[in-house]
Amino acid sequence: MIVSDIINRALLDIAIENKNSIFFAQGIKDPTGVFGTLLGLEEVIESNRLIEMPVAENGGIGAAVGLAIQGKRPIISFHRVEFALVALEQIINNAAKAHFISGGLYTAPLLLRLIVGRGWGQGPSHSQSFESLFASVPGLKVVCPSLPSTTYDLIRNSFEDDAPTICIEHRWCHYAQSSNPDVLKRNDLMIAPKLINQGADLTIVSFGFALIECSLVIQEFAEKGISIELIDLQILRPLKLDIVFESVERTGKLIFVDQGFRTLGIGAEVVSQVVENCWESLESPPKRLGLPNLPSPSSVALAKDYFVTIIDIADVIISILDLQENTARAIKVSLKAKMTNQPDVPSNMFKGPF
Amino acid sequence: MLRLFYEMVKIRVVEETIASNYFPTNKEQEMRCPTHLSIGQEASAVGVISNLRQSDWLFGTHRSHSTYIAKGGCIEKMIAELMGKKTGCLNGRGGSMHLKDLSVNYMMSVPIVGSVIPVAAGFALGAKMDGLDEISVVYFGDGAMEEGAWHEAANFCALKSLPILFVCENNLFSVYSHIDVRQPKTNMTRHAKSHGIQTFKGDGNSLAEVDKLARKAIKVVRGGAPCFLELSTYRHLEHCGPNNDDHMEYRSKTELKSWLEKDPIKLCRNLLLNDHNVSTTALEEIYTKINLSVAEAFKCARNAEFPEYNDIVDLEYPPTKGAVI
Repeated sequence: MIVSDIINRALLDIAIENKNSIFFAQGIKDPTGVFGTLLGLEEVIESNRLIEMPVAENGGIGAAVGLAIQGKRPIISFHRVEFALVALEQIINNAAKAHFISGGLYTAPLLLRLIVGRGWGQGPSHSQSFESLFASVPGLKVVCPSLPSTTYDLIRNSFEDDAPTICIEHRWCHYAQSSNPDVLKRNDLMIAPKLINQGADLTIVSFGFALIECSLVIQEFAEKGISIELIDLQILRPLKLDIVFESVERTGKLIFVDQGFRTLGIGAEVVSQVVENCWESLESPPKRLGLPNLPSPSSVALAKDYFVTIIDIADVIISILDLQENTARAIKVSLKAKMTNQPDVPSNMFKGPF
Repeated sequence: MLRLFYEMVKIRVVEETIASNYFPTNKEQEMRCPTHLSIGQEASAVGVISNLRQSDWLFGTHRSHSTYIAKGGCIEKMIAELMGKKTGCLNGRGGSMHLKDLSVNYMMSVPIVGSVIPVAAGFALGAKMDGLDEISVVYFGDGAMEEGAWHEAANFCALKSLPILFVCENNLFSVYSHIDVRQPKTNMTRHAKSHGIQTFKGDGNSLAEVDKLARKAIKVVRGGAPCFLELSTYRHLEHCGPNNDDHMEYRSKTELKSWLEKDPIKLCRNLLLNDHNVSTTALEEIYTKINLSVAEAFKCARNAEFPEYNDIVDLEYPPTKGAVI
């Protein structure tokens, strides 16, 4: 089962269990179902709960805010994050402020799913993540699913939360696979950030697709006896970093790998808070990885240097831990073998179009 | 008609009292927020809203004192809100441009032009989904017709046949910019017609005409279709603040003069005296009664406590419950 199937199951279960759930999308009933995530809704709920949204993101979100204030629970799905940029007005002016303005007399509990494109030449306006843009707004919550094991809970809990919640789904995370049937199990309480791997030598904090890359990287280091702690933020606002502080206090070293831009990215906030809270424990300066100060390019030849790769992550680990040259070389050789032939696809099986 | 005159005078007296108290002599200002007065636009508020049910939802803009009062919003809470008091309709979090009184379903006013229209559309969608009798009524100005939010919401409401009444108070100005420098034509109904929405248009300063058109428009909406009502009117004072700003000469003296002659309260008063045999004494009694109650509202607001920062620190999110993020 892959993550997009897990999201689909979470949304179907929400639709069946909660009669107030209302689904908005462009192409709500189209045969692709927003990358498969909305497929089957028609069979399980009445059609007036499936709202075909005209190509009007700001108006659509505004209408969802009105519905949400009335007590419905809209779930809006956009094929790309960038479409939400024309709806920032409603998201920030009305959704994020409903609770504050009304002093809690009403709230706007909507779930807005935004999908990040990457690769296959999508270029500047079709492959941005922008989580830190949303995470800078008081009143919004921001989540970012990553691994199959945590996605189901994250989607269900985000839906149930009474605050307006932005869910940033990386398109490449949609392909992450698991054969464990427990991925569809519901926990009563979600613990986030989540400890993905225990380790003693170094702490890595990440989220989204970058977290999946980090988990690949730390496996290689583990085989050489290097134990790296990996933490998945999952919830980017509100940030609750106690587990990160506790980890850095043990390891003394921190790397943050952002899914989006490095400058003013989530990593900038996390590293600042770690420095404020764990200064005495830090043995070396924290490091951040993330996208450079450029819009993302289309060409496959440019993508390879633009995006953070598993080799980039390994290089920073090697430098912080000051590893011997032959160990470092062996790790990088194994990691290279795991990379796709081209940097613009999530797997070698991928043939486009998007 | 006397009842509606009473409502209009209530708005006028509140607004004039705000204006005369805005810059007090010899003491600190009490009302410390941008304030857009509705003087001159009383008929377009009262003539429509008096035909609504209390349960119908109302949405307004930055210039919303008139619609708030016409809907039955608590005046004391509004004044307290302007003064930033704990007893204000938003407990001091909103100011003049963010009004709300849920006891009469005055849902919200939003000062960003056009912003509230899609939210009102969402309420109409909810009413249709649940088969409710309520309709959604949203006020805005001519400036909002230039916003994408209006067109997106209008298309949506027409497409889904939603019970919503769009009320455009066309007062010719957006801040200091006359409609002639903002739009190629001055007729606002064309924007609604292009979305296939039925429209009515008339003199927003004639209470009787607004009342007549509003009845027709509301009938359309209760029948399950959106409707658009354009009401020509004029703001007597400056865009924002208690004075007039005519020394800046951004509007012509003849235009201003002709609109002041068409003052909705003056028109209604003349009609009551001449055609309805209402005595001057009866009208004076109305003013006396309203003056007293408005003075009392100001007094209560003035005596109320200020909120404390502690009251808002937990207001970022709703309280979490059960499985939470």
